[in-house]
Amino acid sequence: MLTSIINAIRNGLLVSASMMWLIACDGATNTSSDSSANVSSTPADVTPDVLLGEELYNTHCLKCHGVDGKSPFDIDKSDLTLAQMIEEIDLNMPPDTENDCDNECAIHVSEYVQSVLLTAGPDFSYERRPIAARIIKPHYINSIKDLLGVTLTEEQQDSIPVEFINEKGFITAFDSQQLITPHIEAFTTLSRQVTDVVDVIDLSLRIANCDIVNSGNVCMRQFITSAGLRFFRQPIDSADDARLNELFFTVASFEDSDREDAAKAVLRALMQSPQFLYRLERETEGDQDIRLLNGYELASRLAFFLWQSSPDDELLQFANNIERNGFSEAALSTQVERMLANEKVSRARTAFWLDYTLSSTSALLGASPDEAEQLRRSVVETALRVSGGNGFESPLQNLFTTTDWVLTPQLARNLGLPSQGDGYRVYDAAGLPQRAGLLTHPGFVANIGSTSFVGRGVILTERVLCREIQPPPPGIQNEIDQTAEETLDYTPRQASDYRFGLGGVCEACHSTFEPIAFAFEQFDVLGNYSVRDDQGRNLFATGYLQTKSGGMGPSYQSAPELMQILANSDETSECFSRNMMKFAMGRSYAAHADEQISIAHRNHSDGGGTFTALLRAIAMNPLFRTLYVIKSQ
Amino acid sequence: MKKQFINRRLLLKGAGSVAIGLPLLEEFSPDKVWAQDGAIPYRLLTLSFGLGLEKSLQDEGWNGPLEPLKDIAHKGVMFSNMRNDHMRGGGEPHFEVGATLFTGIRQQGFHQANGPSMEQAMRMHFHPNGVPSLNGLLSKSAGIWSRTGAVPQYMRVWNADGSPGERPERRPSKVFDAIFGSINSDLTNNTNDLEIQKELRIRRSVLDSVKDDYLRLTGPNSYLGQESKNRINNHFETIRAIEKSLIEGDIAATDIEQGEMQLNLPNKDDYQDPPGIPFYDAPSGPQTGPMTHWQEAQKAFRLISDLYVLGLSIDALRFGNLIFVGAGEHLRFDGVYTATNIGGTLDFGRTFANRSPHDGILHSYVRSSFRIYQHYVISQVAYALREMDKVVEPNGKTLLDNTLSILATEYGYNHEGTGNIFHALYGGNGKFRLGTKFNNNWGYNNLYKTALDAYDVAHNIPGNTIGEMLA
Repeated sequence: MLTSIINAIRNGLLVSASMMWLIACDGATNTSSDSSANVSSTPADVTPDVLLGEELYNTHCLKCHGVDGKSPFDIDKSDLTLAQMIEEIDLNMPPDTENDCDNECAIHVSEYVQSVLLTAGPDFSYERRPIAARIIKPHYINSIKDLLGVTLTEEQQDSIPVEFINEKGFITAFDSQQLITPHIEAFTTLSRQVTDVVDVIDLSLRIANCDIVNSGNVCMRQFITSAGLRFFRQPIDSADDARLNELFFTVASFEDSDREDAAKAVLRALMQSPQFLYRLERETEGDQDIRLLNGYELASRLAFFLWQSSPDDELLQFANNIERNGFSEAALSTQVERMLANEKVSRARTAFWLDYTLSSTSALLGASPDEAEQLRRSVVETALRVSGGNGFESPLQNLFTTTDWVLTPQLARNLGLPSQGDGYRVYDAAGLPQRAGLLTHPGFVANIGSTSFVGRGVILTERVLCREIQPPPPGIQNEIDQTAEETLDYTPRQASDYRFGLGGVCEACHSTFEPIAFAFEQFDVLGNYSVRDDQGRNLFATGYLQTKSGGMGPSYQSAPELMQILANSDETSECFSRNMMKFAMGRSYAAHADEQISIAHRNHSDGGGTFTALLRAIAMNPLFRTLYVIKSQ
Repeated sequence: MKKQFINRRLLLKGAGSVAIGLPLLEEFSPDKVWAQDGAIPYRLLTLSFGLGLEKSLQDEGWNGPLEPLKDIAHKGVMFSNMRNDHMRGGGEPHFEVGATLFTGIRQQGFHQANGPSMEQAMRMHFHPNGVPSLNGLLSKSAGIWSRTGAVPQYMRVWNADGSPGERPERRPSKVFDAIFGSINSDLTNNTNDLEIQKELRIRRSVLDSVKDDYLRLTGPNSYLGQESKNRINNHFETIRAIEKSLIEGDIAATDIEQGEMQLNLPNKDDYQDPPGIPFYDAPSGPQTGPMTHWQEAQKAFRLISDLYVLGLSIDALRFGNLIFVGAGEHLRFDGVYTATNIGGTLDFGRTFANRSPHDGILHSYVRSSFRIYQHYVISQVAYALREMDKVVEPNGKTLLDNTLSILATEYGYNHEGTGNIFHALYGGNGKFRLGTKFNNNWGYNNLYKTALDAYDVAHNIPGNTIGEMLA
């Protein structure tokens, strides 16, 4: 032990104690090792090699600890020092195998684990690093409407490519943003088409208090300053001012052009500017690792979050006040309350539920296009109803139990309910077998697009419980294939039983996400209910909610019972905060944000647990107004 | 003689009266529209087909699923038994090598490659300021597939920073628009020349103004980090290419008299989307994906291929990707398919009634079925290559000869595994030993590296040069 520590110190490797917890693949916990254990001494001439360590980790450890050290057994849960880790690996890892990682191997692996793996997971940088996010399609459409009063036609809207969303994320996610030629084509063409219909005199009177066409250059400068501020979401600097002035004069000087053309050209330049099309923050400015956003950055974040659009004049004034007088939480609160009271907040509400319910990504290929649209919209409308879309809000936890479902006559008939009339109307789903809450709404079930407990379990566990599910370790693909083949004709529950019966890493991992899906076996891929499948085999709805480690949590006899468990769960409530933070910021947050997520959750709960309270809790959260500074390029 | 620029606007104006489909290839005169010096431009097309090709099926040679490539074997270099296990990266086993295809670099993560795909590398190397093709189109990705969520399973174009490039377009009509048509259709539809001239002047001025904005934000004094700069730069590069072609029209500038300029361009009516494909705009594909008759899928893909061939031949397209089904494909085909030349029939409808090809004949490996299925799949990409070989260019060689085309799939038998992977290289401007075949355990990164090195293209693909493939 001592030798290990000495060598570690000699090699400059003794790191601050991180929570380490090595666990055996068979599930047995191996907490810290006994210093008196029979450990071979560390060769003094072994220089830890990170690259070699990674290779050895992939050979010996990956299967149980995954690519991030957490899957399915989290290393990062104890306080082993580097030396202790070396010892632990040397003595016990990998468990139950002839293919041991010896002392030298342990040195390299430990170095890799502590200096690389646990310091920066594979996607760590995504969680923090600032990056220019292109304004997404709805942000563009809303901004044009709010800034210029122009509503894009359906054809114009269709010319902007739909945003890519991976099934786990939100439309705002910046890490999966694509920029393809059609984006540029659309932005270019729309800048012309939009300015063609803008009344620049009216606009200049509104934003610059003068008539740009019939007034002199003072008005022109005011116009550029005012329009620039609104489109760039920050004051234009002297360089911008100069080039936009030059553009105005250039176009106005054309033989066949006039001041109106020139003003429109300025607007076109603004609309094609990266300062409009991208949400830019001053990524490299600041002495500290983390800094508060400046006023305009904060105003921009607030606007794109709560209104899905660019800031309005009052928000820009708020930003200006921060720049002059410093940040004030009271002033922020005033702005947030003002924004929450504005009808534009409904955009955020709809956008969030579209993604949360998977309606923005679902294919629903088993349904006709019309039915698919009904399924998608009805589940979103149901969520909106609970979250204030109808002017009345109830706590979000009610989503798990609500039986006030929005349906169409066709969907109602499928459920055995009499039609209430054409269109989307509220139906009482109470008493329908196995139905209660948003998650059992046929639209939500259908949006998942799978009957497998794996497919359903992954989505429900991630979306409702916000638990990370680690991918299967490499090297077991043949087992996965074989299992898939073996269970091809099984009911979902039989297939699940088979997987669990395999034990080992299969059971360990699948037990962390499948049980929540047990309640859904009686729903087919489009959300229709049946107690038997098409082969006449019984389907069930009993089960238990898994614990984080895959153990058995509370049991349930039916889907409504599970929904009640979820409704009473603090974890599901906090998950709303986590999802909303992800939606607001366009990124996932990991451990470093846990404390702030908890604060947001607490404030959300204290505020009544409603959707509005959730928006408020996120908008007021310190994490929302901070930026991780890029220190070096 | 009137100086006449040839640009998209004029092409479309001039083409209004001529409405023909493929036969135009025979009537078209590419030498009239190329750059002033008539030089053949460097072009790179990647083609991929999903679900891999098991080694024994590769070993069958032209008597197996590779039969559709037989006619052009002498135009290519075949590689079997390639590997990519050394490039495993972030993501889970299903996706951890997907983004290495055509990049040759270990991928970063779930959505991220670690560098550009080959055609982007070549594009950026030769044309850092936009592609001087007829219409300035930077590149195009298209094909028939239905697998989303796992980006590297269908994404075959990656930007310089490894971010996803263009998602493959499924609609032939939109491919037509991209290559031939609708950019700035509001302008091209305007028949008033004075109005057009005025608009062009304004656009030029706007672009000049915007350019400074982009350059400042990507310059050394920018407050943005490098990753953001890359995004902004990528945006600007595209906007500049588009605007350059439209405004200046000087890409293919020539002194052809307007009256002599009789271009027979395709009519969009001939490239409408076959109606039997229900997933053109589907955002995602579930485990049991959509079903379409194989002939409908073939029809759509051939239309897309035709447009590519035409686009390449008239220099409206230089870089691109074609994909026919992705890795882990869940798109199901209907109908009975007969692989005439290798003897075998497969009832797609029955085979894929309840299972996708990925689940039904790959996971549950049924060699006889897989053999016929892959013959169908490979015959699609082979069609594109064969059509390229029918177009004779001004240097007397075919479009296939004059283009670097890389055909690849993602896995071998151990599909999410890492061995026995099939690749082929075609054409390549005389730089490669065509007609050869290699069966070595080379990483396919070495193939990419060697190919790009042959063109002196700057890249970051690690590996060794495959000297054996060089002419």
